[in-house]
Amino acid sequence: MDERSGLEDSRKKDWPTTPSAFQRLLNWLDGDMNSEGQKYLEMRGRLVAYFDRKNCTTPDDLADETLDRVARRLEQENISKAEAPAKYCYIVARFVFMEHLRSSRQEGALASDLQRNSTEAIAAFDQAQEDKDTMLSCLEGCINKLEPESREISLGYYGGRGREKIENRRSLAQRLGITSNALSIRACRIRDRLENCVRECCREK
Amino acid sequence: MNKQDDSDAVLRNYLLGLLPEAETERLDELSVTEEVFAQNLRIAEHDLIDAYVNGELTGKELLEFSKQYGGTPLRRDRVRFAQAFQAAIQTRAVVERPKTDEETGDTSKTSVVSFFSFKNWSPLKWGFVASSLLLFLVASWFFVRQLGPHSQQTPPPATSAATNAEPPAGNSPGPSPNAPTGPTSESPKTGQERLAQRSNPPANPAGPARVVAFVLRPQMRSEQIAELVIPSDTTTVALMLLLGPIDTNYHRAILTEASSDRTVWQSGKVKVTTIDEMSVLQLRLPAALLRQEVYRIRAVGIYPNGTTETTNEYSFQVVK
Repeated sequence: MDERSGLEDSRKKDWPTTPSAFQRLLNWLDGDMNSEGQKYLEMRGRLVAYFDRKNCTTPDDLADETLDRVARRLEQENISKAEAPAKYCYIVARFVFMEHLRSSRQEGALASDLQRNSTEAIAAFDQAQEDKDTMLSCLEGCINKLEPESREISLGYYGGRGREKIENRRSLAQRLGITSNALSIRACRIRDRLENCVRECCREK
Repeated sequence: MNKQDDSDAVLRNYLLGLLPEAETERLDELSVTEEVFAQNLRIAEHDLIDAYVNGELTGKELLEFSKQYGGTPLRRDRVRFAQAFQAAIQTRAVVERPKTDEETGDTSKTSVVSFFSFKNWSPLKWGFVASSLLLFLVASWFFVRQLGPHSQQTPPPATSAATNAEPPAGNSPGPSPNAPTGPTSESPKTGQERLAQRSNPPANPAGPARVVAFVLRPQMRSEQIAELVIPSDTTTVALMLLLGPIDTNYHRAILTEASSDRTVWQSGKVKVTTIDEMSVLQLRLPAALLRQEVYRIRAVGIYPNGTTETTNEYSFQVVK
């Protein structure tokens, strides 16, 4: 994929992803398996995280833009055998990021945003008391909704500090009869679920 | 992808933006293309954010974390979630603990809730603590005046309050500030020390204090530098800076090492609060940031037209 085709894509931002194009994208990401959309969600999540690490303030939009372009190229140029899906998505994401960077610099926004954000960083984590209470209340509700084993894993894995935390994790893995690595992965997924649950709950309130 | 790509140290440095550009780009690609790498990265990120929340990050890591994770709304939300999550975990741990205390009859294990257990730190409680400390300051000043010719004219520049916040189960009604007086310009062998000995109750054997709060007032030239005693297990230092007459409601605080003038920490734009008709700037910073050194804080007023001006300066020595 060359730079010119990446730039051409930028002129077609309003191309809507049709249902058939979207289904084609899902099938392409799934490969030989049917993940019922899980592969798409995972890829989208990784792209959001990528754009977020690049200090983009709209990582969700950029991830969607990336996947829309991939879907368009699948539909128009039938590239299914050209690249591994994840690698192709990354290449498109890089183009999208470069374009975003160029347009941000033209607006003079990016550097000053980063500067302002870095100096206000620690205070930026503070919240109004009301927002803190809402989040805590949502979190309690979301934790209570977890299955008992998931709740035990999330509270046991992330509790404690330093040596105590390491010991907690070791004994938790032993009690559950799984490896430390498997425990880490499960705890991570449970935490992501909690985070999403809290985000939704706070939004509703 | 090789084994080294996802070692804890590499992932941490990647998340903090401390890797060379070429290496960063290589890991950027892995974060999208390799499922295992992406998973390990997510795990490392959770641990990093928790380390920040628990005050375990120091020096360059702390500064870089603040830059990286204060930079976007999504990552700020992740930190806030982690703060709430840690508070919820500790709350649940404390609620379960009292059964053991009742069985053993041991009432000394008073639980200390993290500073981020939001419900206990209302402005009213802060106001109560600040009012008590100010009252104590004035009382000690009058007491010292009675003692002899070396009594100083102005109250000591700093008092401290090691606070043991009540557990959510509500075992005890609110904090009991321990308020030893700070150093003054008079001889340490006279009234101040006697007063401190009389008013300083025995150290709480109940457990580690997580938050230590101090009230600072602007440093006068003739005064000794205040000493802030920070227990080793403190996670957060809360500072209340008493401001003189000011004409702006917003300030920024800049903490520097006195010996090198190196900036160690600075706050964002903080709104001045009024407690008992006194203007106060309330700050919180990780205890791990402070070493046994002399520090200076500059309170910089921020005006609506964007100009800034230093309004007050404070000095203190950290004792750990």
